[in-house]
Amino acid sequence: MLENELTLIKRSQVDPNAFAEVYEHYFPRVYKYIRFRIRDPETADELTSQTFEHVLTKIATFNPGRGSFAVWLFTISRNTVFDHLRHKKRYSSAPIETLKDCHSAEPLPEELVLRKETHEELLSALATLKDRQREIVALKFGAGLTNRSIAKLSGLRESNVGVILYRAIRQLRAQLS
Amino acid sequence: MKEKEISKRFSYDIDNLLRDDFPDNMEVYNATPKAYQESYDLARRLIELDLSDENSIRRSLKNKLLDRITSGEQALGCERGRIAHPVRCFFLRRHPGFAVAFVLMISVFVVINVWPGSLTTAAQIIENFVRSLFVGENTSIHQVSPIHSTREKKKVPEKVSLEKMDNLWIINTPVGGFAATGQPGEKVIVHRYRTFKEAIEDVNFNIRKPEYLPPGYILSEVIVTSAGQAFLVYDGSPGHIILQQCRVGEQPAVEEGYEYTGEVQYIGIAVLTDESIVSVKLNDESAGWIDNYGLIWERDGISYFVGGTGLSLEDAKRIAESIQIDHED
Repeated sequence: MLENELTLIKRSQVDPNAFAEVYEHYFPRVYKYIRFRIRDPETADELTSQTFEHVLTKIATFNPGRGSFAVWLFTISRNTVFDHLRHKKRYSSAPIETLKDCHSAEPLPEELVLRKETHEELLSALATLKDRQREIVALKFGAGLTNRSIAKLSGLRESNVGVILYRAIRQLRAQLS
Repeated sequence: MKEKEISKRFSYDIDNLLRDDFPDNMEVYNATPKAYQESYDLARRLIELDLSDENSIRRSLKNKLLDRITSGEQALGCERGRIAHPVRCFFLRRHPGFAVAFVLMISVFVVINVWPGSLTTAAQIIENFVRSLFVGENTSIHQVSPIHSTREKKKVPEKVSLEKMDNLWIINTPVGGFAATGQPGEKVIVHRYRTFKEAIEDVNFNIRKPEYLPPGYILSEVIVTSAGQAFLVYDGSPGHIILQQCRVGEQPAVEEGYEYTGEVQYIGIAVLTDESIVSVKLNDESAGWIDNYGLIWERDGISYFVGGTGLSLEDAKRIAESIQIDHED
């Protein structure tokens, strides 16, 4: 959680600096969550953009009495992802598998290539999980939420979140080995 | 160690990792089984996975959003350049009361012109509400004159049965029929399970069960609907006991397969009955007892009903009070 988060959120509607702090803090988590859910990086960019535009439009309606800002923010992120997946399910039958070499127009330094391969390996393994497992893993390791917050978002019990998470990691491990 | 205990420990360790708190005590880590260590290491890789090189929009999006704040366009969709901007901003942003009054005035005008006499009819309907009990934020019981009761007086079935009607299911029970209906156009799915364990393992719904039941009663079936309802059916003498639970208030909308659709829906329960209703207390909570029907209450965002053939108020209260808040399966 950000220091002075509530004050920053309150000021975010009118103060660009306050919003910038909130944005910088949460952007990596939102992007990572979405990237764990969506394989195509360009689509992930687009959905991240939609999420933050929505956040800015609705930030005045955030009520701290009803839950933390992170839960509120990731509710919007999830809605954006689910809307996309539903739309994709209805209108597109071809899976988007454009991840490989999508940014390889220029030669990459060796270290960057290795890192990209590691990313690719993990993200490919994530894509083999069941949708619910993938969602929980994304909320945990992408969004960095507690099991309690994940339970609140998903409607599952906290103990079930833990079990699903542990099973998903075991499955990922098997996949990667 | 059982899977549940391992997963609890795993979650605890992961939360420490997320707080950047890798255990200093490597002895503790080394003492865990190899498979656990591998899972932990994988979790650590996922946490440390840095995707910041990948996205190309971080800076441009930030600039775009900050520009919007600077130009005051962000709130309530009052984007500059849209025709409705001055009107919408005046009503919604500065004077929302005017907007509400305006909408009400137009609605009344439309209703009395399209349906003359409708206001009188509405007044008569309201008059027919004899008494109302609010047993929770989202659950209410209304005693109405017999013509407005939603309960059918037809002969009730001896066994529980399901009946499909267009987009909804009717769950016929010895205490009456329950409708399982979703949002407009949503296809409701009903699952039946023989045991409580099967039900909770298979559905995304926090079903609760009572610790107390009158002697001789056993669980015969669990029915769960994708509309967020669960029915626990108990067999015994003199007949069935039905415990219904339904999530109420603001809920994530779900669709086939219990997947969250990304929308929010509001669910409230309003029971209309022509039987007499009595306000009762369950510990510190309010509940409503409907003669010849059952007990209704709300707790922690769940609306409950328990009823059964010949079930007394005393037994219904004991069942209600014995329902645990959160079950460990």
